[in-house]
Amino acid sequence: MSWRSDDVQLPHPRTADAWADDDALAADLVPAVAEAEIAHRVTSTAVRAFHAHRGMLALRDELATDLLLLTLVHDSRTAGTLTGVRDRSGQPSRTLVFEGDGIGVEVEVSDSAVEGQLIPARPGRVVLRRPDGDVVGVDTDEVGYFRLDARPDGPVRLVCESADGTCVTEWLPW
Amino acid sequence: MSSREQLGSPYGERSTSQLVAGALTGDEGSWSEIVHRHTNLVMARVRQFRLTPQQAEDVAQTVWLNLLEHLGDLREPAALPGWISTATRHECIRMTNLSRRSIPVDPTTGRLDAQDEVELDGELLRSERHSALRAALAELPVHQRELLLLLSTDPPPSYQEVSARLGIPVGSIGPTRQRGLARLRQTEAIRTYLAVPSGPAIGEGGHDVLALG
Repeated sequence: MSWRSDDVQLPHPRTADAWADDDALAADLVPAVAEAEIAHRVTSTAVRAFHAHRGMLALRDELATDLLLLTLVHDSRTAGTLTGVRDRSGQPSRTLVFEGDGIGVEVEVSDSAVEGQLIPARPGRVVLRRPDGDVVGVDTDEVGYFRLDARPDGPVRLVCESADGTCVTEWLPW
Repeated sequence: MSSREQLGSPYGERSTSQLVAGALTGDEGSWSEIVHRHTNLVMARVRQFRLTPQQAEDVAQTVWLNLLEHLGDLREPAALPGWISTATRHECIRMTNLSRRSIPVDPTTGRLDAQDEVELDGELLRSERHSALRAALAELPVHQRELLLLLSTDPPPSYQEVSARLGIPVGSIGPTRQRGLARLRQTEAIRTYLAVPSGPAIGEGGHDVLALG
């Protein structure tokens, strides 16, 4: 377990005595202050998430339809770690499969583009969405294939529209 | 610097069920309180996996986004800490895989064991302690806060540097530090923190313990 910390501290007793000494209190301030940036990021992303969620609800109302949520059922990165399979090309492409209620979407994410396929094959339109708005959208071909020239950072989702309805993939950093 | 700005507001007294209901109807204050009560849990997981600030941000963002979509499905409010803990753990594992660090365990099943929970409990206590200290710093007068923040950087600056940065005489740094630390112990944040017995237990009424700043 090489990634595990070797210096995980034992829980300190929650007593006033622990901080009675100036130097002990000052020493505890150092990691507390060092973690302030991460704490700030964790809470400020929650604000962004809330507004992104309200935006999705507005989209649902606009489309006057339920958005079927597709959950991640396969991730080549995770599967690769388990089986030791490596990408033949050595390129950092990643295959993700999302499914829900008999339909789904498969995507292959590389450094510069996202290629994908609606399952079952059907024509439609896909939009890649970040929490702060749409990145790029494209119509699929008649069998549901699409290509998006984008490599977004942070969590994203696909909104897939077809004659059967609209589905969205769960939020995930690609 | 995180501070509990809504201290004393009605949100702090609301039950998880009320907050979930509020957040679902679009009340941002309810959502903020849910986040506030579980930030230490997310922080504990992030520390457990040694994530960078950017990785931590992506993990937290993903967890909050997916939580909002599942909030309506949560029948039992007491399940909230467990849901967040598990979701954050999964995203941390995925994130460490993405950065191509080796994880010598099965990411789909591994480490949902006693050791993982003991480790998480330790990190959770640590996160609560540090969060209380940050909230306490936010309560200090600005000159004491600035000094303690500067002295808490790693490695610490010399008193000459501190004097130059803050424009105060070297001779007053020691006494100001001492008064600042004394005042820190008297802050609402520290007194509240010390008044409550420790011992987080996720899934065993853990939401009550996690509600602490």
